[in-house]
Amino acid sequence: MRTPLVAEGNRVERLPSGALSSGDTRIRFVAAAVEIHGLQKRFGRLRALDGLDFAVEEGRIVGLLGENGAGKTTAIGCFLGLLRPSGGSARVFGEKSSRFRRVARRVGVSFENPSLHGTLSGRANLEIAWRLAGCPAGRAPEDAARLLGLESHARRRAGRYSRGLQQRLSLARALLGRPSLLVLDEPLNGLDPLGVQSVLDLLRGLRDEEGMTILVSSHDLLEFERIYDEVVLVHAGKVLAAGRLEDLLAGGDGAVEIVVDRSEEAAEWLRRHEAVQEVRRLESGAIEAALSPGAGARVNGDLVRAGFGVSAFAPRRRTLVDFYREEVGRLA
Amino acid sequence: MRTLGSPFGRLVLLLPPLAAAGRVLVGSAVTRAGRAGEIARAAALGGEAAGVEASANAYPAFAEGLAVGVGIAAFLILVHGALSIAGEREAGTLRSALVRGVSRGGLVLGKAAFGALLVLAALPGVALASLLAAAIPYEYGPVTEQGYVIYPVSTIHLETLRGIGAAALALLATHAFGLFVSSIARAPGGAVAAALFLFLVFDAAKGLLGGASEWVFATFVPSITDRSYLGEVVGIARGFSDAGFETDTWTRSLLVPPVQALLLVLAAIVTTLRRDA
Repeated sequence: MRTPLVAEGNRVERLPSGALSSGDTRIRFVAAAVEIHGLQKRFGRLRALDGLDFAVEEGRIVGLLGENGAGKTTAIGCFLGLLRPSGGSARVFGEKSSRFRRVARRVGVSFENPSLHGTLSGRANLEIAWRLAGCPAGRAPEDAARLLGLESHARRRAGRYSRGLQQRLSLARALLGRPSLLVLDEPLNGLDPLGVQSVLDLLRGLRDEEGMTILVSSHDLLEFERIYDEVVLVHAGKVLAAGRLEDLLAGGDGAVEIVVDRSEEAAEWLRRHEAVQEVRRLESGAIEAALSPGAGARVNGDLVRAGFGVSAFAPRRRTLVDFYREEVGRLA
Repeated sequence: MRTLGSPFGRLVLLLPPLAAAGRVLVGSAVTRAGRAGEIARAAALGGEAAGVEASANAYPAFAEGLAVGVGIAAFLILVHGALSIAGEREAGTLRSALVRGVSRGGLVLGKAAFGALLVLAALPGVALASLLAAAIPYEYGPVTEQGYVIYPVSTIHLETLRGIGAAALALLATHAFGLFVSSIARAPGGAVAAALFLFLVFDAAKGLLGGASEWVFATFVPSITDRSYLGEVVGIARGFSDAGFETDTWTRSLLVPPVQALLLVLAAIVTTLRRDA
């Protein structure tokens, strides 16, 4: 049962900012483009999704992370109405996944396999997709092609495109019309570094200027870390961790990264230090240590006095790759 | 995506007419060679070649070419139907269409409609190729015997049109059958194999079913064990008095295929609605 946010009988008015106000209570309704509750999907005996729960807020770029076979693509297939869930629910803009057609015009999708019509030109591929969608208002095929730098390739057969061009065509196809939600599965496949940068800039621009919601499933953690607002980490069909990127990447209180000579020996020495709670050696050879609050200077000094050459001693900021490895590694 | 201009579309439009023309010309060459052999043998034995002179009328050869061409078209159209949904599912183009708001039922109906277009596009070519090929070694004229006209040209034309019409209905059902198999198959290769296997098994076994086989559309498709109306047209063109369908059989040839085509398309829609894309 839902608890009302506003007491019955109170008048509710909309403020210029878009928020709602009832007396002293200001309410900001955050609309979810995608809502997944207890989603289950079985393929015979295989449990691909096992009670998946997450939501994608409108106007955000959300990363869907997970190892191969975690259930990312299955989850996407379920809320797009391509796969029938075995249990739970999936909604897009409030519509059940079984009625995805009602909101299909608001959603642009680029699958990992572009599935282009190889015997047709790039332009024809876009035309067909646009007509299938009912010639929606907004971005026409030539506009979408221009956005992804495909004008000079538009007349060539899509079957002769390089992998990168095919990917750009798939993205252009997803941007036809005026989608409010963009669902991208491995969108950077085959793109050169300049292409990667231009796509990331494009996605950032779409979010900032058009308020577009973007859900990305990608293993390119290093690249997408620059633009994600939130991430959802999926493992074995369930959400392992989810939240704002900055919150998830914040190191634990007192976590520091130490670059020191004789790092193995130094790590052993740190494990015996009373102010050090946890020590981990990183792939780079540096040491990550969780310290007691305020013990940083003391530990640093003790290390130097113990004869170790300390090159760096600084609070650690995790990257998305670190976060992913730690969360998944913890399970192993 | 298959269009009439795609490689498979072109195959469906070109191969049956070639097969029809080939049947006519090869058949003519074999007949003439056989007759020449008889004459030479008789001459060598000091007598005259016995037996009836081969007919110079083009209509029997035309009808045979037509039956062969339509039979080839039937197999290709069956394969096309079997590849349609399963092939798009495997290629990923099915989900691309669905996420753009195309309904699953609409998708299946569109496939069925294209199958109908394929049938309508293929048959005229087969008829024309057979018609032209038969005019090369033979001449068109009424079916006669000992100077008497058994079947005037108008009758042969009418019967040919009836045969083509009945074949068109049977081919529509053939495509619908392939479409249904495609909707339940896991992969396009399996769909084609299953569809061809079932079709050929029925073709081989329909003789054992007797009259009951007339309740299955495939009986009216020109085939290896041909019991289609086009097969009867061959008999009419040869002047056989017992050629043609009985009234009940003719009625079934017109009703059974379209009804079963409709049921198969509906079954394909239901299956596609329930399956994962």
